[in-house]
Amino acid sequence: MSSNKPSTTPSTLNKYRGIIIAVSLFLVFNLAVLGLNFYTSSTLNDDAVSINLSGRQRMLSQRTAKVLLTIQVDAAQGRFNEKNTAELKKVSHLFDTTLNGFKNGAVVIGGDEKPVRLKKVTDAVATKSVDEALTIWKPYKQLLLPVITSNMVDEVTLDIATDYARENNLKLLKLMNDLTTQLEKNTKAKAAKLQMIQTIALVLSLLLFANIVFNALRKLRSADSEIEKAQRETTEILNTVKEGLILLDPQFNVGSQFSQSVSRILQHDIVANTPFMPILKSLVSEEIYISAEDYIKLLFGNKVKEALMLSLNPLTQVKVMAKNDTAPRYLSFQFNRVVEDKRVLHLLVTVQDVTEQVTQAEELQALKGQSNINLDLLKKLLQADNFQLRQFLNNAQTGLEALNVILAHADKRSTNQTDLANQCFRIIHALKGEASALGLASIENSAHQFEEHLVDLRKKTSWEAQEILSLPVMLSALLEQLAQVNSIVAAINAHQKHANANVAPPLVSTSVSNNLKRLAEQVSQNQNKQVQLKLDLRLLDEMDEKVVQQLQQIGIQLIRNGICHGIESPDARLAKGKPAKGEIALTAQMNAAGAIEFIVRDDGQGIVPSRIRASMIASGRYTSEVVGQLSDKEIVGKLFEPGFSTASGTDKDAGRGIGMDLVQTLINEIGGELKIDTKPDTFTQFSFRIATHSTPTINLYATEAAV
Amino acid sequence: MSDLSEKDIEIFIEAIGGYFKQITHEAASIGVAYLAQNAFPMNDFTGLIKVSADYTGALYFSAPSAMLRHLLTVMKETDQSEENLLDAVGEIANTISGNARKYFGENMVISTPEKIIGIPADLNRSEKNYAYVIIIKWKHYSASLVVDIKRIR
Repeated sequence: MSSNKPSTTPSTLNKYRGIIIAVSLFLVFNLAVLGLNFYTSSTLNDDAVSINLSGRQRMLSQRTAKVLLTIQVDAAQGRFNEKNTAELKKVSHLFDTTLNGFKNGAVVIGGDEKPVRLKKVTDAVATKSVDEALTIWKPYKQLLLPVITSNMVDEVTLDIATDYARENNLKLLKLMNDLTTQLEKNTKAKAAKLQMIQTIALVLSLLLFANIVFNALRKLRSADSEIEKAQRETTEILNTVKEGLILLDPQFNVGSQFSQSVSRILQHDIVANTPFMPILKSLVSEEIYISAEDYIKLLFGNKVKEALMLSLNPLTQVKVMAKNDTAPRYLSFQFNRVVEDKRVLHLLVTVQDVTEQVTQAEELQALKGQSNINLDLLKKLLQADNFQLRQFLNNAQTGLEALNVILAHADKRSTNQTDLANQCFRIIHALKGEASALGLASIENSAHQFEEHLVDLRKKTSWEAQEILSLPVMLSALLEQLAQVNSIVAAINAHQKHANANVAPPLVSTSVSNNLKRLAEQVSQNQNKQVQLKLDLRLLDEMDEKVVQQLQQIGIQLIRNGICHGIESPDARLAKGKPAKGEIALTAQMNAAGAIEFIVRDDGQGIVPSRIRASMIASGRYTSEVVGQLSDKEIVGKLFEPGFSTASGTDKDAGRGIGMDLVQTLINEIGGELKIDTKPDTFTQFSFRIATHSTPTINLYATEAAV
Repeated sequence: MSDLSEKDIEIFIEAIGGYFKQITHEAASIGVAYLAQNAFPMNDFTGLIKVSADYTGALYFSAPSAMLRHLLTVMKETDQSEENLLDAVGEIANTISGNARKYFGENMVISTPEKIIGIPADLNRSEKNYAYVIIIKWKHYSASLVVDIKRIR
């Protein structure tokens, strides 16, 4: 997952469009009002000039008349003052240009002797005053012209001008007065109008401003409540979501927002800014922690694509054990980059407790395995020979019941724990051998596990509660498997009895032979050796079933031993000049005295005391001093001690050191005496005579010498 | 065939061990453990818990009166009447059922413990299942825990 980029200009513009438009309008409006103000003040300025100048006209008209009259009085007395003429010239000119300025608009000399722009009058009343004034002024101006231009003015001209002045002076004054009044009136009206416009504009502007403030506040409030709502929703989500969600910053600290379930899943109190790595370290193994740290660092780097890194995540399904966990749990961590401007800002960590799924998957897998075993078991049972199966089931049941009795009386016995373990071991080992010969792999496996447990116990002088409890639990598992086999065999038998009513069951000797051949094949395959089994067991057909079973047990153990310890690997055999394929012969034969001799002979490396000594020292359980003190016969005798083995490792076929012990026990039960003949690199032969057997010795070809 | 796992059975044993450890500061240990189809080793006083739901069967904790008397003495209880001895065995059965409830959850419905003097009446089991017998040792006494529980679902 990659996060959306934070909103950029377009969406912000949309969001605040109303406010932006309102503010722009407000600005434009205020600019307009400002412009209006400029215009107003400039207009009023113009008006002030006009009023000022029209007021001056009043004064000029009176000055003109006054100066003219003064010139007339001076002339009557024969005087001439040049100043008066110049002043008349100046004031009349000013009056004239100003009056024409009112008529047409012009630049005139202002009150401060500087040129000012005079606008022509426009309203009717003022225009009328100006026009009337012009009508009076034009002849007046003509009459004044000779007075201004010459130093010597004749009295007639002067009188005409003076008369005209007297006649029109007040008229002109009144007209100029009217003009001034009108202009003032106009200006007042204009000012009032402008004031009103300004007031309206101000009110409008205030309204607009109020609108902006109101809208902005509303927008802000709604934005705030949206944020608040979003935050509330986020919190609700984070409080209820089952997955643990954390944001990690580049310093690997937990961010301020995380889901409530995170503390429970990680079994760790999480607060904002908690460093994440120590938590992870407390949960997972050192090895996983190191690769997880590398992985997270890599994710914060921008170089590698997230999708490419998915398969590298070492925490996809990781076994954890927190302080308070009673059993290991499985967690799944997923990391997703939170990217902005192509930079990894955070990692979103999703943690899930997947223990249930994993356990279910494991159970399912186990069930799958179980059904495979069952199918396999069924196949083996269908192939197995009935005699062998019956033997096996009887022996196994009896053996396990005996084992249970041993367990039940464990604390009443005077023997020590090692003996107890050895006794159980013999039973389980025999059962394993038989199961293996029948190809009942699941029982063989269970027996093998039981053996492993017993090997551990054998080394200890006192057993833990759990170790004691494991014994009946394992026993129960084996019994359950036997019960399963029993029920399947019963069903098969019922079916076969019906179908093969007329078919004679195979001979016991054939059955035993087949069984031993199957075993030899299996063990030699496991050991990567080539072995040929030569069997002559016809005598078994005449023997008691129990003895046959015991002999078969002995056969199983000796064949197994022969292949594991006697027969060399094909290469080693070839090097010794022997055929690659070894040979093991089992013979049951009756001697002249009617006793049955049972012989197991292999053409392997023989029992060599020096080799046994070496492996005894190599095992670390014997010092070379102890080994040195034993005679060769005593050394070979060690082979029959429980727990003694010369195999370098432990596998299903050898290495537990119980085979020979079991053989000896069985021979003792039969009542025979074991003899071992061996020659280095040539052969080993185990033979014993069965002293008594349940069927009477019948000699049909006895000579008369027989007693 | 009891198809409880080793861990399941340990829960019951731990409950008893924990009880003795807590009350007497002397742990109880396992003497022997084996399977039995019948002839369960029963003592003078027995606490019986029956289970149902995903499981069926019963669990017995059976102790000799001498052991219970000693336990009461350690607890400084002077009244060693039969009733009090029964209560003591019931208390242990209660502890076992409490732990089992916590461990098995709703998958195992556990009855209120029954307290029995002498051999329990319904020991004649029809099925030829194996039950686990665990001999629990405390001081020189032996009590027995019989786990005769089968998973049915």
